[in-house]
Amino acid sequence: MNKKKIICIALAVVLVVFLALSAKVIDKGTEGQYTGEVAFDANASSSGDWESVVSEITGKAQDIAALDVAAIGPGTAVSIKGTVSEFVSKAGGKKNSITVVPEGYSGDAVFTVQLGSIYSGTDVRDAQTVKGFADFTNQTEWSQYAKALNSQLDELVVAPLAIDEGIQGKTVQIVGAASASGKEVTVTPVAITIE
Amino acid sequence: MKKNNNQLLMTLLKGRTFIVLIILVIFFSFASSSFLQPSTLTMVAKHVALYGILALGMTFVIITGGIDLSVGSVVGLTGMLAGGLIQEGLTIGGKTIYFTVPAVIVLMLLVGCLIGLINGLIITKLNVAAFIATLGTMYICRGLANLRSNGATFSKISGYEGLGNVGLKALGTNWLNIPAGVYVFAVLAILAAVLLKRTHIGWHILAVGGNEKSAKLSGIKADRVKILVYIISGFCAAWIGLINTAQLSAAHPASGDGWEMNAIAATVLGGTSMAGGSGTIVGTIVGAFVIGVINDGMTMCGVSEFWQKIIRGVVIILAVVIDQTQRNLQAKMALQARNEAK
Amino acid sequence: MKKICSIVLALVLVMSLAAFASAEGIIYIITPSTSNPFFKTEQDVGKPKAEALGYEVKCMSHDDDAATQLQMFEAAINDKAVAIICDNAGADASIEAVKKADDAGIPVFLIDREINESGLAKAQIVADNAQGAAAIAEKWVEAMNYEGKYAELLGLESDTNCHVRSDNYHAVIDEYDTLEMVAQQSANWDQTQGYEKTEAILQEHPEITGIICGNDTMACGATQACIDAGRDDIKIIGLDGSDEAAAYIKDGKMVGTALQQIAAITELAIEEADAYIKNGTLPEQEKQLVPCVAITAENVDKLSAFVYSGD
Repeated sequence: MNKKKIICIALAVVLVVFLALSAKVIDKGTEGQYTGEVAFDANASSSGDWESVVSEITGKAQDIAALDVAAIGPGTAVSIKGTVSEFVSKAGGKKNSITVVPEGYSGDAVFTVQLGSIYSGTDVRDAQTVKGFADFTNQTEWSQYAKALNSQLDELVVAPLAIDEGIQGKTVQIVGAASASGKEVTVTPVAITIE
Repeated sequence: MKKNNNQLLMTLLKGRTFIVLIILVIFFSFASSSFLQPSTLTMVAKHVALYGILALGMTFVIITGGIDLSVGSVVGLTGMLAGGLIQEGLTIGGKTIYFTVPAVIVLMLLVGCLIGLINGLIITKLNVAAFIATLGTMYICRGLANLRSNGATFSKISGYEGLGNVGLKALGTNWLNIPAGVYVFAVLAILAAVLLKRTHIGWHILAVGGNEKSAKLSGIKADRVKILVYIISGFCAAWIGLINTAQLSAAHPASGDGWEMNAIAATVLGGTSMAGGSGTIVGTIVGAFVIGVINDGMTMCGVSEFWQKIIRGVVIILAVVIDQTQRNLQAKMALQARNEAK
Repeated sequence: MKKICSIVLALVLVMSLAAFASAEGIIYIITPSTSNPFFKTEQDVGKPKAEALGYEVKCMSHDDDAATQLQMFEAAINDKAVAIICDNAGADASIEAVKKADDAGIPVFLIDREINESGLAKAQIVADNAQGAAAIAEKWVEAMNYEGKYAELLGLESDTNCHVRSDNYHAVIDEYDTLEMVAQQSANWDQTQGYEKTEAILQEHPEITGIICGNDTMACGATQACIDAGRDDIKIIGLDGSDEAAAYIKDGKMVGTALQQIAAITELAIEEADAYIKNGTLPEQEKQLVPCVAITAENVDKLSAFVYSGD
């Protein structure tokens, strides 16, 4: 019996020594220094791209009043100049939008411009070609990129203007990305000028 | 004349699994032109190793009259723990520990043994039926495997030079053109056969399965024997957890789901009686090959998944029916022999 | 012996159902279990399409087990398949299988789900789950009128798509602090579990007014549970675009679903495989995202058998 115990203890000691010898202890979260890998960060990825995204969309934007509604979206670069007919605020001010009537437009489509702070859709991402799906590991990162672009535009374009009911009746010039569902066109802005 | 007939039938019945295996191989070689070539046979052996190693442990358990439903989940759990140790390490306080691959393997085998020990203790000390006890640990281990990563997959199991934990992949590659898993299977099978046929422990296992009361009366510590067989089963399952993770290059928490059934099927096909008391390692190996050949053969013949399930079920039931016939015949022949002797 | 004979006979009978070798070679179509109509569509659409192009087709199911999938890939390699079309068993866990086929020179065309590695498959034609989940979540948020308590039924947690869908539901929903999730349970993509979990959640949290589900199968289970409990105020969404969900949407019992255009995806994959085998032409891009279509009461009439015939 004693002999068995000694063998057991000896085995346990060998095991512990073996594990201790084969362990590599590092500070938590410093794996990158050893492996050279960097975790994906959508915000870091989008902030560097913002300028080029805006200039690309601005460069290829088409006048929305001249477009066939059926040909819009997803992610068509558009420019819209017109009068704000309505300011709508939903979800306790988190989902604001304006309805714009383009100058000289005679069709029956309704043009809504999203003013955040929550934005729907991925139109801005889909309108640009600075980065494509192939640049990301999977669709999750690709969708995070869309969201990061949307928060960029809120922070840099929409929020500083602090738009409220007062905008009704004013003339605006907007560049953005659009998509359409039936006769309803939604524009996500990347540049806004209020005249 | 009748006696001779019976003897011939007896020989055929004893070798029935092997005969079925040969028939299957011949059949699939005709059904699929690419079946009978070295690379396909190596592939079959590789796939057989996965179920075969589980079936080795299962053979010991079933010989004692028990059953181990937890092995599939142990495959998933040890795979996830191994993947986690390599990709994320073990974080304690502000430090993270990365183990070398040999240490990870040893730790996982210990985890397998530990789960087997828990199974054995619940069955013997708490007097819970083996089916229920291992059903419970099956769910627990599957839950733990998912909890380890919240359902995500560990994909960086090749390890990093900088962390000194490269090498698990070796268990999933070929050594001298033969998959590593096949070597593990061979070594474990030899050890198992020796243990069962050539040692006191093997004799004790058979004795406990044959008649627990008389085994106890003859001084065998039946509880210890029972605990031991579940530890062996857990140990085998841990090997599969490691090999499967290495083969997939990823640790997936759903791995091994339902594999206990393949292991049980291989064991039963190999002639181990569910009532306990009899069984051989060679039989189990042949049984595992039958399952493997059916799986791969049907895949290569393009048989639909639903038919595959039906055929697997038919084969298992037939195997048990033939097993029963053999037992009856054996009893009849024994009776006949005794009558003749009179 | 009789019994052994009957085993062989049974096998022969089944094998004779399998098609015989054809001129253009064998294409393997490997999908999750066809007991889900979504994956059945992949085989039902893919097989005749490839056969019409002159291939022999072998349809397999990996039952969402990555190890089984690897074994099927290895079988296909040994069977000298000319292409593998696969709806894979996990973005990370499937890389090795695709790599094996690629090393053996067999082109792999992934459908529906992607893998987290480029350059191995010839094409990854992916249903944009992220966009689909976000799109239908937006419809749901509107239906909820931006407020209320809700529950979520997750799919199988070891499945990549379970997380993609849930994450993107929440990417939309979590921006509204007026929407509060009070229960989150996995129903493993399963209809019965969806029904039972919903019953339990309704007992525990009768105040909920919405349920978001990771797929249509669970959503249909949840919808039936709500109908049986007399709760017609609960807003439910799913994802897939199955006919069963479409029927509930028509009846106003469900808010909507996002259609993954799986029939179109499968046909595209077969066409690309055919072009590669016969002419060696590769698709322009490996990763091709096929957008989902948000289906609500407005456009549900255009949906049938995973095909959207609108716009």
